[in-house]
Amino acid sequence: MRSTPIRRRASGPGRLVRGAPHTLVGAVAICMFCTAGSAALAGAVKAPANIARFSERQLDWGATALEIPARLEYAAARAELARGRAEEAQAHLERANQLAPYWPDPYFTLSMLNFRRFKPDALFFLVGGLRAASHNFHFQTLLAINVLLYAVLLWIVLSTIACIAFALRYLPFAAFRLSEMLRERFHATLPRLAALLALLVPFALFPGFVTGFSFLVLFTWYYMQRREKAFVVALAVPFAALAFFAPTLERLTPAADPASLVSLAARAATAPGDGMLIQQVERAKAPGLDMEQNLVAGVLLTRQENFDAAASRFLNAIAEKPNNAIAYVNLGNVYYLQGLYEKALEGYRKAEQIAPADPVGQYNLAQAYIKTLLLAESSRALKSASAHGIENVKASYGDGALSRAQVFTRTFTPRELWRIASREGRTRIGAPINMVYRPLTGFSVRAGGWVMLGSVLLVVFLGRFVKRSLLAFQCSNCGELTSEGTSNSERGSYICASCAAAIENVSSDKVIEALLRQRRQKVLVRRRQAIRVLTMWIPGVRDFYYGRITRGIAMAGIFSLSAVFLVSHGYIIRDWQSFDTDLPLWKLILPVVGLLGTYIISFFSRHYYEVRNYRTPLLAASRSGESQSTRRRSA
Amino acid sequence: MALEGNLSSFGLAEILQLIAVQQKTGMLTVNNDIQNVVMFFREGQVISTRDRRRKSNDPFRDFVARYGILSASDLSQVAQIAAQSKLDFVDIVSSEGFLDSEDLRMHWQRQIQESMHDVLTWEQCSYKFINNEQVVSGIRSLGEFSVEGLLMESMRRIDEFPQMLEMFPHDSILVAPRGDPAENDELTSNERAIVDLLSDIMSLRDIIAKAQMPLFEVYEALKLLRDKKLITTRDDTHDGSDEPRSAAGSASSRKQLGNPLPVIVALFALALATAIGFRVPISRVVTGGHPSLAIPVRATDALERRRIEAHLRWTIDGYRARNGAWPGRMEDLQSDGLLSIDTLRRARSLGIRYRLTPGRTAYTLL
Repeated sequence: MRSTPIRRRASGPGRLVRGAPHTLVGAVAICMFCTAGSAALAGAVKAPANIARFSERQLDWGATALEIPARLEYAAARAELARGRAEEAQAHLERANQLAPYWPDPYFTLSMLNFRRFKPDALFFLVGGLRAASHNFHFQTLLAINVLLYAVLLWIVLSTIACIAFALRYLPFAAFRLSEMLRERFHATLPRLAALLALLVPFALFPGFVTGFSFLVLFTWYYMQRREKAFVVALAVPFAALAFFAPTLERLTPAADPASLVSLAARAATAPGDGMLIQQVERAKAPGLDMEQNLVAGVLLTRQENFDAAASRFLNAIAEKPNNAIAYVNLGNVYYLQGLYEKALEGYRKAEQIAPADPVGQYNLAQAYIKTLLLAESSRALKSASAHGIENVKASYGDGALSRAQVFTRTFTPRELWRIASREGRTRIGAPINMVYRPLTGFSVRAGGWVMLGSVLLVVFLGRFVKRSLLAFQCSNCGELTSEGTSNSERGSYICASCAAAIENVSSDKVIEALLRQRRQKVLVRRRQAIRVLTMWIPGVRDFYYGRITRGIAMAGIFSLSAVFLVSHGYIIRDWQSFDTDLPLWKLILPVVGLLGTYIISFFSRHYYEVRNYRTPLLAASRSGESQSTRRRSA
Repeated sequence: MALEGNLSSFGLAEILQLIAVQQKTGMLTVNNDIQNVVMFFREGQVISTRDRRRKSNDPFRDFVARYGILSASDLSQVAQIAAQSKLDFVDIVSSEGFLDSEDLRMHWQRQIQESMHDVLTWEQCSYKFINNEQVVSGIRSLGEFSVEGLLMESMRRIDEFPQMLEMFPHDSILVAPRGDPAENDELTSNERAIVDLLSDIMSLRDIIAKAQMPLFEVYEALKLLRDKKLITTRDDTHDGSDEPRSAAGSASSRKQLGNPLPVIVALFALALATAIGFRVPISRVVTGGHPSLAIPVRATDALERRRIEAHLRWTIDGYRARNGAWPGRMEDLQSDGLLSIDTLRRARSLGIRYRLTPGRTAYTLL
């Protein structure tokens, strides 16, 4: 794409928008001159004269906020903060606020800066930041898409940790019966290893979180406790919900796309009449949004003082939607800036009929009344504009821009932009969510959620037909795996063949008890050591393994959050309207502390009591002839 | 308080008598260079010779094994149970009914008697008596036995045993029944036990192993039976120890190897599945390429490219604002501190190229 250099402003009525001496530009130039004296400000403001010229050109071309100079100030402030110069940083941030009043980042940084210094201004800047955020569509979209992607990523990582724990806990159950079959039919060497390898085949054949989850549920559902089953369902439901709401969430797609019409429209609200931006708007593919496209292009063309083209765009928009207040206001602006006040008045009056509560329309109407010497009407319109919040519109203008503006451009509000995004998103593929979802799950959002939910429903259905007597369970004494075919139930509960062999030919209860106790302790110690080694690598796995769901969620959640934050540095989709600055140290320290903390807690956490999956013949008989799994806590 | 010494200072019999007379409670340890015997006393009475600290060396278990009081299979079972349950040997024997309580007490006393007999025959030894209640706490005992009685019996045995050894000089000597023992009503219980055991010619070693009584009592019973002409002895040096061993044992002990094929097949299947699984995207298999379900790979890549492009344009504008001109190269953005090296690399990897127009009045991103 070819860029269009900023042209010199043509002479004519457009010159009316030029204000008196540009105090802001002068102030910016002076401040930058002062800061530029410091050679240490690498990456910060270097050439105040250049920036002043740039700012003036931007204002000449109708920019309502100086986004790029503001972000350069912000970058300079970050550099100052990195050097520990809080006062200088504060000055840069306040200047950034003046240049782009509805950009919330400097407010939040100022709030944090003042909070560190125990100044009550922190609250003031925080409120200012929130207010700016409520008017900044670009900020809102980035926040929404990042929160959504964070939630998706965290849930995937947390679910993966839970799945690893359940795999460690219950896959051996599934492998046990297979190993018995291999031993009996094939006289296999290392039958349990062979069975485990065989069970891992589908996981390797279809790698990915979704398939892994589904196979795991299919293999292990029958052995899980009720609480664990509920947790597995709870894990799958958000993915299903994500799939269900995918069409809605995919409307966020244009919000995260800098080339979408809605992103361009949001940028056009403050941007100058840049030829490149106009080209981008004209090229934007937004089926069904021709009216909005015409409006955005018309606004930029107006700022470019290409009035004929702008008027044509607005008329097209009106043709597509006759009751279009925005188009009428901006069409009025086109005529006003050309000195055609009667025609402008006509446009503004039409807009007033459609949207009498529009402060921009009312304010511009008042200006037109003044030009036509209808002062009483002007006063009424001004009062109406004031009543409907013209001050908020004024507040969105940088100082230099406000002084130049005779009439205000009617651009889309954030709420209107969200509606446009929603409509534009219907025609787009949900790329942003899939961007993080697909590499981890192997599926698209829509397919993944349904596959997971389908596997859970399938296994719930299959579970009704699976014969319990065929399932492996734990020895009531030592906790080793066994099955009804290989266990001994003479003592009122099923014990494994090894325990049965240990008490073979022994008749005394005292000796039997001692023998079983010794074997239990020996096996438990060995198993606990194995579990400790297996579960220490990822925080939360041990908690899920021992059935501590709440604690597991907490541990895995903190670990996931820290890991995701460390990798993404806070943003999964970064703000493309920003300059890359050095990463703040806290963005490294905080997640590292989180990771280390969870690892330390995981490493030194005590062993829990195992919730054992064992059976008793009496219980089995009492439950309609089926061997029902029962569980108890065993030390 | 401890009493220590060796035979040069006080004889062991005197020490034992001293403990008995003063009704001491404690532990007497007697050792020569080879053996070590421990006796526990409670108020001057011997209660046990089993040292709980040395479970591998249990004199009672050795006694029971040596004289065939329990069969080899019983002993093996008890040993297995003991190893697995950590229960005491006596507890297992008692609980499992290998011996009733009276037999157990009798053998307990015999074992103590034999231990004392052995100790008193030592020519050199040292001893140490620890007079302490605590050392006997928790000591398992089946009775308390008078030191005087044990000493007297030991002395008798010491006196008589050499004569018996002359009569039965080694344990390979063969003993055969003679006459009809039923006619003789004056047989003691030990003699009767030996007679019952001697159904055929047996070596002295076998008799000792099966008689279920201490060595001295076997010798004594045999001596009496010989005096009563109920047995004859024959010195035969042949022993059958060099009989060929059965090949069946070694064959049965040979570990049977299973069929390794299932493991190999499973391993191969896993390797194959891994190779296939990481080459063919699952989406194609499951969704069949349906447009609404297929993974929007192109869409995500295109979005990434647009985001990088927008970021580059923004940064180029920032460079121009700072420097008053477009950057000559994309690397200038990085050197100016506006673009990170990661973004620059990502832009390059996406094939994004930056060019200035000849007049340097505009730029293109391709």
